[in-house]
Amino acid sequence: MTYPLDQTIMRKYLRTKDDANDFYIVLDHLTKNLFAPETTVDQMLLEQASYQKTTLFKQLAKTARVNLQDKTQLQLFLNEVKNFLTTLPVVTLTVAIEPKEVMITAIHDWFSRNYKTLVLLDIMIDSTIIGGTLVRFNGHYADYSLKKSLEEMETQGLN
Amino acid sequence: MYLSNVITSNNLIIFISMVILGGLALFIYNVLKREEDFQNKETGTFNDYEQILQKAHKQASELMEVTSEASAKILEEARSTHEHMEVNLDKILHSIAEKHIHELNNETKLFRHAYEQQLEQFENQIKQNSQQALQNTETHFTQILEQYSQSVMEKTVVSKQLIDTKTQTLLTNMEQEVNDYKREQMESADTKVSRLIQKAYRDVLRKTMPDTIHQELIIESLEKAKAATIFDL
Repeated sequence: MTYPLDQTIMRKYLRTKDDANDFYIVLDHLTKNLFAPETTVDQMLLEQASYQKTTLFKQLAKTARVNLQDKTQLQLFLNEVKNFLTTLPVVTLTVAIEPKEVMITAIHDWFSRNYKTLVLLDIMIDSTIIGGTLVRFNGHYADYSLKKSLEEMETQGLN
Repeated sequence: MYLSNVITSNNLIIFISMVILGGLALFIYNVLKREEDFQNKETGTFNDYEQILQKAHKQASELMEVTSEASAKILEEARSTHEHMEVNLDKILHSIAEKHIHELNNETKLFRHAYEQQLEQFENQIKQNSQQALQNTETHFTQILEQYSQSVMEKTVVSKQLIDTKTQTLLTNMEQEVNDYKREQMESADTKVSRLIQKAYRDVLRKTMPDTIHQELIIESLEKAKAATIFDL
């Protein structure tokens, strides 16, 4: 790794897989249009990226000591960030309701507290599970839904 | 000597010849005499024959005359008789025919009478036999009917018992099946009701559960996943 990437900053802005994808798209656009005539990085960020993504990118570049005016250096930095994004672990969680930002933050914070590695959340919604979550990660699967708990209780109650 | 011998021999021969001649003459004489006697006898016999023949001829002539007369007479009579016979023959034949017809009628009548008697007898016999056979058949039929009725009665009793047993078994099975069906339906209804209640409960739970509870449940799930080392980070 040529440039150090601050995961603390990333944790602030990249919580879900969709966040990472959106950021990747912005970075990819910057990479492709970096050497276009009469085009600046600020202008592209202003036109293509959200305020949060622009902030994230600028903070990452700042901590990595990347000169945004040096397009060659910037190109290397962009490729490195993009590669890093593709290597981030993704935890798929199926929940019963559409989660609000507070809930996503709470879940993401739980991973930050328990694991040093930055984790991206892939949230899926299935109201039939009632509550709890179904967890899929790296080939593993676990059903911690309320539906399953109730079924087990019902089965025990019937027996 | 010789001469004397010769003379003696000649004499002997002459003697013998004379003897033979004499014998021959005697023989011829006898033959002739016999012939004469025979001739005489034959003549006498012939005469006798002739007389007899003459007599016979005479008798025959007489007889012929008599016969001719008789024949004529007979012929005359015969012609007369023939005429009478032709007339009488018809009568006789008619008479014979009548007699035969009469006898035939009598015989027919007798035969018919005998036939009718026999027929009547036969008819009576048949009637008697038929009545007997009918009676026997009736008796036999009655016996068979009685036996059949008896058998049917016995079989009916057995069948009734069998049907009763089968009906009882069937009824028991049906009751069992109905009970099983009721039990299954009740269980099914219970299950359905239970599922409906559970569904309603889940729906209510999902709709009424606050986000904080959801969040708590999710965090609990993540703790369990961590404990289960699902996140090998």
